[in-house]
Amino acid sequence: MSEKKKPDRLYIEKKDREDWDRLKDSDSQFAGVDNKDIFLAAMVTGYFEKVEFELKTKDGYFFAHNLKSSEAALVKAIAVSKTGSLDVLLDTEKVYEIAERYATGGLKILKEKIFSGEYGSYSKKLEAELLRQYAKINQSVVTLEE
Amino acid sequence: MKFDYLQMKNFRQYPNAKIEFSQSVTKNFTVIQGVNGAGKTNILNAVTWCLFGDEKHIDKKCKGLPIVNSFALSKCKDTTCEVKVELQLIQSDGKRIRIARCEKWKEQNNNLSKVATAHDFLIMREIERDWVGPIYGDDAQYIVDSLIPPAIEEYFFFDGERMNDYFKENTGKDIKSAVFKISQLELCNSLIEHLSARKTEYLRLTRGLSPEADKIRDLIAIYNNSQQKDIEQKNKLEAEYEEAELHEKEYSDKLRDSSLENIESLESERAALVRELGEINGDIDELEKEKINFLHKNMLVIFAFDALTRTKSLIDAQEEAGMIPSPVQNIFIDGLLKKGECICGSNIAAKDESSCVRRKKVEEFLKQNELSEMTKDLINCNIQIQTMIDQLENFQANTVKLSKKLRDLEEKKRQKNRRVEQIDSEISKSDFEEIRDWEKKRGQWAEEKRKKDNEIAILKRQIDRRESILKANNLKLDQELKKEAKHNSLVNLRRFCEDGIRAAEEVRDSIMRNVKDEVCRKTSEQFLSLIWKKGVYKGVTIDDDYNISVLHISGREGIGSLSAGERQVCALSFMAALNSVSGFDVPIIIDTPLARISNVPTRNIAENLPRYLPNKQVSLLVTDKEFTSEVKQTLNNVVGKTYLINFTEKDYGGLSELVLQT
Repeated sequence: MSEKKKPDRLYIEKKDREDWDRLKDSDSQFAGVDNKDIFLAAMVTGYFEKVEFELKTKDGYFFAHNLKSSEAALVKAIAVSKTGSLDVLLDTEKVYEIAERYATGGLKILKEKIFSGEYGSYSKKLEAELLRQYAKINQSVVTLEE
Repeated sequence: MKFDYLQMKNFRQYPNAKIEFSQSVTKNFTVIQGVNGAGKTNILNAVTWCLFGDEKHIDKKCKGLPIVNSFALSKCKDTTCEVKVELQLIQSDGKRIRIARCEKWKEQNNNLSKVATAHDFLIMREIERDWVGPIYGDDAQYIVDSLIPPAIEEYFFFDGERMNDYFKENTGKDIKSAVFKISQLELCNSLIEHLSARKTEYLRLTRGLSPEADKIRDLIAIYNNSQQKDIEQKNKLEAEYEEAELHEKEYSDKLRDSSLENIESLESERAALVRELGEINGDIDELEKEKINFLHKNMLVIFAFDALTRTKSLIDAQEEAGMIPSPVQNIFIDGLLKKGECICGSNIAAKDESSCVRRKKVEEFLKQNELSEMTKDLINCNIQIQTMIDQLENFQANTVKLSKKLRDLEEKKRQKNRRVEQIDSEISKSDFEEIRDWEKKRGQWAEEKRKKDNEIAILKRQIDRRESILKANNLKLDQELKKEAKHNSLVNLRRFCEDGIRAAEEVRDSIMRNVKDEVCRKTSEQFLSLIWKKGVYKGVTIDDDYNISVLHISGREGIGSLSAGERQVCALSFMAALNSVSGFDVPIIIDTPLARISNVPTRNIAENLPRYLPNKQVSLLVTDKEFTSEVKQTLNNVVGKTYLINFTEKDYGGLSELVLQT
């Protein structure tokens, strides 16, 4: 059996293209941010909220070589966490597929959060959420250390 | 290029007058001196009328009055009276061009009317030693316009007295338009217009190619239509905003220039507060952007924290279990398999059982090695995860720091706003009705400005949003059309137009930026050399919205607190900068250059004028008050010719004659 070709890009759902572009509009907090960074934000949001969708028709969004080492590690960690095994890392296509599914889920959440409230409310809510989670992380670290 | 002479026949108050401009290289200034109303500005008008058929500097007094001299007209009973202005130029190669414009007027039964003439505008050109021509009408106008473009004449022939109000009357948009005009970018704009028209045409040709493409094309047409309407509406709102701003400024100036000391100081304080509030708002915007970027960066780690830690513990566990074999290069093991010989020398290519067993072992080793490749990846992954987790350590402290900075700025903004409200209330309670009225109107215009600003912001967002929808739909249309190879050329043509538009816009914007920077640099340089208060100002800046600011040495904006004379110097510097950057070699005429400036600074300007208009033939139209003995003495080295306008008031109007001073 021939070895599977490593995918060179990450995809989004084709019919969501407009929504992804919408995230970059001037009234969005992602205005001026590049595709890769928006994708990663959506991916972690989808992962955090445990929302994922299968991609029906794929549309290329950015090239994988644009991922920095830390960002590639993040994408891999999400796949490992999802499958519970490091073996998934042998299958890059699978790793990217998991990232794409979460990103698709995250997109819907981000869109809702950014555009449903008044301008600026998203960043306030995000800050509060991150501080809450950060406190939880610290709490769990303290508990572990104890 | 230089002016050789200007001859006026029956033009306004000049029945017959000729100015022969100074041609000297060192004494390149010509001074024309006359009292107010003697006809100085009409010399400027004679030049622009001759060149463009338009008296561009006409004042209210003369507006509506016939161009023909009344005395000459009274003498031409029932016959036509000719008005003629002739201007002779000497080009840099020494060749002369004669430009003449005339009109014929007739008075009959107290009715004054213009009589049509076949050739009212002509030029003659000197080629070798002969005069060629005449060239008439549009052809002649084309030649004149290419020598002195009418759109930028105001940067060569200008009224010094109006300079005082230049930055009051002209907004960032006007400054931008001035920079655009001298950048000579009409070609870029025509290219953009042409490509846009072609693009629309190609879009039209896509009709009927496929039902899906038709659907998208119709959608694009609808969006384009709405986009155009919104852009027009935005431009209209921007013009209304600028008008409101001018009115607000007008009443603010009235309050500041009022003789009541407390109102004057309150208004100055309010103007300073409004400027500071603008700066604070800018700082808040920047800090908010910094904060959201910081949050987005950290959300990656915080939201995926459990995935990162879970992965890390799995890798750590593998490490502890010693499951990370030493890395061996795949290529080496691959080579052994291809060669059919193991590293120990035994055959692994043969079909016998022992060879097969050995081959299987090597293949297993290769598989293990795959894990080793992965292990390398895992080690790197582990390092990256650890770094991300470590960087999270200061998240809370940094968030608090950023939030505090923002809160402090918001508080500062609140305090300043409170003070602005106090001032509003104090001024509106003034004992003087006029002050209360001005304040009311100022407030109304300020409110109007605020409303327009909000509407513009909403519309801008809408336009940006639609732009991305249009982009997406254009892509969709291309994809749809590309399904059929025969439509590829149409797609390529449309793309070519889009790329061309983008490239032309980039070129235009980049040239505009460069020209703006150059104008800014020159204005600043000239302002600092002309201004008499040395060490008070840092220079002049032009921001991205083309608003001009004079920076005080303390860093605060100072254009609002400049005196009339200082404002005039600033505008004069700006004009000279535009003139120099334009690249057109045209003589300069300045009407009343020192009108608003008091005695001491005039000497300073007189000293510096020749220095910052090097190699330019300059004509100054001055009043007696401006052309003091001190100024005369200062300019003595550069003035080649001086004319005096002798003006006499008659029953039928004024008569002026020009007398060369020796």
